[in-house]
Amino acid sequence: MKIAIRILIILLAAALIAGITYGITQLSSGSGSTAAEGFQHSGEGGRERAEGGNRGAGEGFNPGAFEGEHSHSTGANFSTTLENLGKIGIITAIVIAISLGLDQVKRARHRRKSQPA
Amino acid sequence: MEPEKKKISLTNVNLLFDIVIFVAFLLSLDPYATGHAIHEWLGITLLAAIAIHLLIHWRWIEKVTAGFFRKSSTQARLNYVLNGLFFIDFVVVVFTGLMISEAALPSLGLTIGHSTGMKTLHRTSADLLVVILGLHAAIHWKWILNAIRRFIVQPVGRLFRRKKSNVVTVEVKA
Repeated sequence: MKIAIRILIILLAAALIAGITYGITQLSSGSGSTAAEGFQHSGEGGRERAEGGNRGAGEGFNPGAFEGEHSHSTGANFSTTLENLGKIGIITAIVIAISLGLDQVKRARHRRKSQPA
Repeated sequence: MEPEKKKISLTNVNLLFDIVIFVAFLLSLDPYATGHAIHEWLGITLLAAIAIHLLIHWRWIEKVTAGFFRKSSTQARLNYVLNGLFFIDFVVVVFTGLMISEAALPSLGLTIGHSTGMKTLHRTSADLLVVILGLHAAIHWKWILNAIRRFIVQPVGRLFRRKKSNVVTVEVKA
């Protein structure tokens, strides 16, 4: 019973987030506020496609994932997976280094305080 | 005498589960390599996996939620906010993914019109998810290192040591 309630809470939270996301995207598409939607509503399919091509050429973490010329892969190529792994590793390493540095500073300060003058 | 039952530690299960989620997550971020169908189904499965991950850590969630403004440490608060962002972002990625689905939903007989806004949001939130995952891993790096040492490195090391001692015994007998 407890687990069922917990699952229900998670599902409700997910549904709420999904609802908000849908609402926001509908609102933004209604007003045509984003550049991409603007292109869609003005019927400039050619420009939109060109934008997709540019995006596919290497913008973001998943270059060419969905759109653009580069999304036509020739067999399994896990370069994006490795790239993402590298990015996660770099972020993790930076944060660990910062936290270790802060730890050292704290310890040094503590040592200085505890030493008799 | 009854044979002794081997106890499985929760940390062990947790570590294995997290490794599986991590690998699946990395693969799902690469629709290029996996193909659209696997990418979409893996994403949907990951949402269920994240729900299980949350259930495993439910006590911690309850504890920090109850004492967020009073008892909790700064690190716990930071962790809580980051995990909340992770959950929100993950739901956004899966939801927008479903809205632009080309394989999973059509295979169930459901088709939703593709929106460029949804695609942009899907891509952006997926990019953000990589960053949040890096931070999530960084915050838990001590636990990850300890668990890997305890449940992977030490047992493997023991296995090799045992093999070595077996070899020595054989040599003595001969």
